[in-house]
Amino acid sequence: MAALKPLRLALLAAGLPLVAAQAAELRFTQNTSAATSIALGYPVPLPVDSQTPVDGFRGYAALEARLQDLALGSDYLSRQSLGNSFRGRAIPIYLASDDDALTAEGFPEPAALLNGGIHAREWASPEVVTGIVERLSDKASTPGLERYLLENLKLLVIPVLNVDGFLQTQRYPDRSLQTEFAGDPQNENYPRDGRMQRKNMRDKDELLCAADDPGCAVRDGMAGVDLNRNNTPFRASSTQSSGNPASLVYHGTAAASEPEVQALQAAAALGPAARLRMYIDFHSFSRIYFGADTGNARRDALQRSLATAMRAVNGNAYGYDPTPPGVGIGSTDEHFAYTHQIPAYTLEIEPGPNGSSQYGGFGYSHDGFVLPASEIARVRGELADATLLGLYRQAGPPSLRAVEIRERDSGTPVFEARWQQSDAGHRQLLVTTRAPLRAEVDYRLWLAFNKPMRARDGGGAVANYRGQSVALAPSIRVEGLDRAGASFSQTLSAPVTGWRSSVGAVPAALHYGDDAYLTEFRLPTATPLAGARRINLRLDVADLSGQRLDADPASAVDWSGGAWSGYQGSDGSAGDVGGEDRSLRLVDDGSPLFGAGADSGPSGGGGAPSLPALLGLALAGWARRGWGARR
Amino acid sequence: MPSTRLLWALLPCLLAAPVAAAERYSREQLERQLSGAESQQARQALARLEPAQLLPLIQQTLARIDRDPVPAEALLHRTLLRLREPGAPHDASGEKLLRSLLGYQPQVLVPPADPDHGRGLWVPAYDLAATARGTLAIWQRQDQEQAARGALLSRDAAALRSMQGAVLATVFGAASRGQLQALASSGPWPSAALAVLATRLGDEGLATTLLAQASDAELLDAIKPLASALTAAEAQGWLQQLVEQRPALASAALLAMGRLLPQQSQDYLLAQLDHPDRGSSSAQALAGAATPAVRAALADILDTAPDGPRLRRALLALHWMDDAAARSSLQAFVVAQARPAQLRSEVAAWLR
Repeated sequence: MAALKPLRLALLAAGLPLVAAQAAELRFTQNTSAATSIALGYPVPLPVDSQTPVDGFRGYAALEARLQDLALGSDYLSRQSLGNSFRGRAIPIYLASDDDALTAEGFPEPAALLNGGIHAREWASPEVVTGIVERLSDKASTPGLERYLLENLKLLVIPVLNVDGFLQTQRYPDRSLQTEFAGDPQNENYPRDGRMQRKNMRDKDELLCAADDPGCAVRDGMAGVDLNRNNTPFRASSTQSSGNPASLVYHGTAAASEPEVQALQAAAALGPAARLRMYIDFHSFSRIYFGADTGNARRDALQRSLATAMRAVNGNAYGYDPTPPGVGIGSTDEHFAYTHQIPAYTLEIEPGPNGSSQYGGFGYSHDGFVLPASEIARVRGELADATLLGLYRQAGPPSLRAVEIRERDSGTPVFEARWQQSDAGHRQLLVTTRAPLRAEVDYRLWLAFNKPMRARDGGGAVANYRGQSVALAPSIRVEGLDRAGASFSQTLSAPVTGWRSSVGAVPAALHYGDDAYLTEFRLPTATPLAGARRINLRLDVADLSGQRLDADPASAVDWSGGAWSGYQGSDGSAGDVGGEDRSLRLVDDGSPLFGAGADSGPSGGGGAPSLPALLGLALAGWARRGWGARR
Repeated sequence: MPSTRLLWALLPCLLAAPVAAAERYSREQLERQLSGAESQQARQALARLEPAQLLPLIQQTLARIDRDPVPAEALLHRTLLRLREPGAPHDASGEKLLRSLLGYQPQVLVPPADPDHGRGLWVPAYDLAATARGTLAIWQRQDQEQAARGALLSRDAAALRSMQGAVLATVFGAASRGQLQALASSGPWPSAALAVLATRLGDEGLATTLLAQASDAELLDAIKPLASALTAAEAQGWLQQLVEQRPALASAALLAMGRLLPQQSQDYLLAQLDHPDRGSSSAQALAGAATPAVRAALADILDTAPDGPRLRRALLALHWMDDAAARSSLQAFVVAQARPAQLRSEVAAWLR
């Protein structure tokens, strides 16, 4: 108990009350109600000894053993220690990624950080983040979304940041202290310690001591630091935190004073920090994504649109509520939003604001922290779906990677081109075949993208990812300038069934299901191909989260200053929404893709050819230009 | 009855204030309203009320709730909780009164209880509808348990069989062993009740029946108490069946097996080490055992097994033992040049 003495002396010196003036032990029950028994209306969850997920909340030892086993048997999962908790326990982090720090294309890999268990009593949080790792691990061997993430993103997952506090809640899974405490105006008379431990375990032991317990030497039920108030830039700047060590929202003696918060910062450095693109701190309850607007308009908008995509996965049951710029409470989402300029959230897992009454609970004010065991399997699945979509989106917007056109019947290639990495931030276009395109000939067109572009339903049909509403078919046109310089455009048939689920279905595709598309087309006789000055493809397609193509694959998309860099729209301007790709020219007149001298092309599909073009219907020979390159 | 008179006397003061202009209150405002002397006196008076006086108090409060909803809702909430206590009266009229509260629209909103959840959210200060639902449910449960106890006393197995499993589980949990033995062969029983019967009687046959009929969730709840109630050999057999028949519960069953540890369990757990889904749980179960025989078996695997799940799980078992002897075995593995280099490197990291 020696470690407690300084705190007690400091409190006395400050004229503050000792950490628990009055406290009675509470017991949570399903149906028994009495002065010290709280009936929740559903079975009180107890920690379950099971490594594999069950309809319940796993004990810490089993949860950690599960992750260690997955890591030891996986090429995509490894474990490190971020340091020790206040009471000296290791704080593990799991890195879900391949080991080359590069995307499948060879660009520097982005990173994302998921933090679980910062508030001890919020048991849904470690289960949900562990569920995400389990999903990735389960599906690592199949070439879908999960393997794409493992190979193109470094995902950092802290299952339980507040290890000491979490163990305290599991030590007393159905007990807590009901306090009477006047030093915490906003949060007085709330249950503390035991199952309701929120803070870390600074300056407290692991006993649950009621005021009338004669065996209780130190009544320290109120002690600890709120790790979600201990962060820059807004620590100690809000009425939602307190300098009183007994407060539920005590912000500690200095920013990052707590070893757990230092561990979180160490986790960010593993990204490394400069590669981070997303942060989520998993809490419960309220069913909402909180965020912090920083005043960086692009980052704030991207944070909102990312939240919109993730919320849609679960039918918008979760809300979104960012704090305005310049204010905060010292939370970790604020730290990552301001310090790293990335989308950062405090995700409050269900139940909703009214707590567990939505499951038939009896209305106890804190029952939202005690999610019924029967709900957690569903919640794990729903939030894995939502979070994986968010990670997929932040891994980067889609980009056209390769195109191939062949005569359908003979297999003769007429156009083969692919974008290939040229340096850390750029690609160059390699064109290996350019032969004349003829009217009234059947062709096959293959398109390859740099990520999986579609999801599949249970029957294997192309479908939207859960909750998304993206046009499933791409828009593909052949367009150009005819012999006289007039523009023309022909829309190609692009059925939804063109997406290829089998790996390697298309030459130059990466190796993920649905990262490639195949269609057939025949251009009508009226298409002014002969002598055309320029012929190019015009593609418009969004990935499965709704992000449109990078209109200029020459500059690889990255993240900088809170927004995308190198992400061009249809007019070539850098931004955050992408646009149509017109970079692939079957006949190249050498004009720039964008800006002065560039032709924005006709906006409508299937435009009629110009009169001069109609005069030149004879098929012209294509200048075989061999290897072209554009950066 | 002075306390009652005081409460009735205070009610007009509590409820006669003008209707609050806003329905939203900060937690501090709420506390201020409720910490006044009159509110405290009312609270003390409520505590002294006889149970029979609680339902009339609800009616009185409801009739005047619009005048000052904060103390009125607080009073209703406390009264509804008091009605849950054993001995509180509940008749048809009381149930009707409480049912009328199931659709109650809260008039007092506050930021949520957790300080992180207050950004723009407002929740009822008192969820009276859920509280009333809870009180009704507890009344119903009390009635059902009373009926079950009556049927138990009269040995009316047919009546008992018609009752809910959860109710029977509670009543069986407090029944005498003799009463339970009389019921053991009078099934079929709902799984929740059967689990209590099997556990209280330590009956392997009932445990087997339970395995055949219960859902995974019901079995999960039963694993620990039932395995403790059976003899070690019986528990080993039952858990082994669970592992084989209920894959979703295999991990929980293996970890429970680790607490038994007769020789049979050790052998079974060692044999499961290379199973893709069971190996890790077997390793954790063995780590909890840490007998000399287990240590020797694991050391042998470290020396001889090829790189694969069996070797990895043996390493994990020793890692999770986390004692000097286990660390020593792992240290020996790290320096054994003939052993797989990648694993030696990983284990070296554990030891750091």
